[in-house]
Amino acid sequence: MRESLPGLLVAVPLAGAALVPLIGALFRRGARETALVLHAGVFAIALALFALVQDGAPIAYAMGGWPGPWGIELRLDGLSALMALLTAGMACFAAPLDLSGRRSGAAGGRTSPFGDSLLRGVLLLLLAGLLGIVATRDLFNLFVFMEISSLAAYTLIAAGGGKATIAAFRYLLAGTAAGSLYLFGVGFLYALTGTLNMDDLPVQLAAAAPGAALATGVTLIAIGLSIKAALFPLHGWLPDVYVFAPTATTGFIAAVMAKVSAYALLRLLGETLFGVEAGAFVLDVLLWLGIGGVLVGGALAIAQTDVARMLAWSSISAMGTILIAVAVGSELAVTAALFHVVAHALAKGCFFFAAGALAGGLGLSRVQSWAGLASRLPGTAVAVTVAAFSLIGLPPVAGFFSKYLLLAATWNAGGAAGAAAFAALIASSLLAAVYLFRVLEAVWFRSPAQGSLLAEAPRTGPERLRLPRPLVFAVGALAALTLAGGLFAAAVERRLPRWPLPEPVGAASDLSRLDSARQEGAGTPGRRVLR
Amino acid sequence: MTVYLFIVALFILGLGGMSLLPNLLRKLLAMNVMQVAVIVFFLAAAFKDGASVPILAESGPEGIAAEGYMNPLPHTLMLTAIVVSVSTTGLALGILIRIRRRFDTLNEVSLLRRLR
Repeated sequence: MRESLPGLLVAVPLAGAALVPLIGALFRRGARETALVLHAGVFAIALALFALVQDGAPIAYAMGGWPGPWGIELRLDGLSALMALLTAGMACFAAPLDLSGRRSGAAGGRTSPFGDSLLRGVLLLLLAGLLGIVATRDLFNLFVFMEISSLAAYTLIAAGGGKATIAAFRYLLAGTAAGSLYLFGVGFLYALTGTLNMDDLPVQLAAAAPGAALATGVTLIAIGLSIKAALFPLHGWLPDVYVFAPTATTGFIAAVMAKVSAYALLRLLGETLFGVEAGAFVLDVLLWLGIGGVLVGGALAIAQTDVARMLAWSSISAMGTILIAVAVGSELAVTAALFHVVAHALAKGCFFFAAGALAGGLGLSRVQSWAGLASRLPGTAVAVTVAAFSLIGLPPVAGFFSKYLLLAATWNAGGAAGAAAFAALIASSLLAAVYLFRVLEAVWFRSPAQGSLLAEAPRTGPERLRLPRPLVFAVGALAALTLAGGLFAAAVERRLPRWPLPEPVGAASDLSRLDSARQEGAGTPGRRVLR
Repeated sequence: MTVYLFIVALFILGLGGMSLLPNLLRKLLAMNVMQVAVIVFFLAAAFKDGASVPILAESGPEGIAAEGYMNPLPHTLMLTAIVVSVSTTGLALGILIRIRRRFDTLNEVSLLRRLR
């Protein structure tokens, strides 16, 4: 059972993606319930895996009984189990929501039961793709799962209709260019080494002479994954997608999708290609791009009047932050990056679900229109405040502790790059304070504008404003988790996997060769010297 | 070597077309050109002069002469990549039909104006 869990982690949502629309087509009902059960099941598998890998030994599954390096191996270690748990957990919040993105009461009416079941199947497909990226140890398999998750994401975004279709198409072009660049890079590595296995590749690379082909391959892979991770200046696709996609889709993909690509970057550049000269150079470039993204994202978030668009630019800033930590690559930096990934996913998911509920259901999309929100929807106001505190990095919520660890990691890194990253992180918190306190001021200290929806709505009674129940649950639960992540920060930090990861059992002989190859290169993992 | 120059030219042509052409359908066609470049790259890298398809014809007393065969893996990988490419194109065409019906144009500049 233990050995088959990684396989089930991917197979269950993949099978569900076909099963749920089938149920929708045959029975016209029960599809939503089936999807919810499947999401809960996937979350349970991810939770079991996360608990099982706490002892440090990864769990591997050889697809079709073919062991690596010939077959495709799915392997969960502390790092991937954490990402899987986060992804499956966030999907559980999006799963009960209306995925069609049709505004209630708007023209067009409700989606058919079959159409609804199709979208629920596609959400499971997106989940299968993301979990596949997290679990796989094969470079080409990573490409396939990346494209599965991307295709599912384009579909869910386009389901919003109208402007969302334009955003989806532009994302499709950018995402496919990213996938092709990645695949091109993998082609170079495969031509050099004859292997696609992430454990075998460094061994073969140690024998191959470093050259222009290796550098080209590494660079192409990094550019491809950076587009998917929305790293500045390759973030162009992101704002429109987050603004126009249906609420449930935005909340989910803004929380995890770009971060899974950042995870793939960490895996490949920080582990498989570690010690490769070109990889170290790419990481140095990524560090400066991350600094650029933090500053540009934060500055442009201030310029926005639309809440969702402001949050989208804030996400670009956050991806810059995570990429900085990945590029620094020390044990502390990666722990900080993972803490930030979790904290940001919870807070941004909460904020986007709330913003989507207010914009979609009530038409409150501009920052100014949120004036007086606290007097009419106090629960939502509190949740948004918790999320905003976390995004800025204020105590006592999770974002404060991840920001603190990030600052410590960049401070310890030293050098001009470390100092610049430290300054950029401070600046990002100040910028976030500017754009988010503007929202909080409107929510708590302004009264609703005359004649606005919030001013007309009664404070009590059956006519008072209410948000859809699954959305209230998602927003509330995510805010509570953000708060808990801060209150129990020490316990959370202890559960985070340590980097560099312990060597997998049974592959010690291969990996000792790898380690000696690394020592000849740029030192051991986690001891990267910043220039 | 010439084939690799051709592949790089094809890839850049596709990527450039995706970013520079104004019409979304043309962008999609350029995207396909770019994807084909990567597929041809894998196939060209797997090509071996004088080698045959990996179907066992004879095996002498010393076993199978591996140098007489081409590596089948890149071809298999590209079958999957073609499937991915076809699915992406299909989905993209579906989205384009919706955009055309809703906005009555596929010109990116005028569509972006509607987006703001």
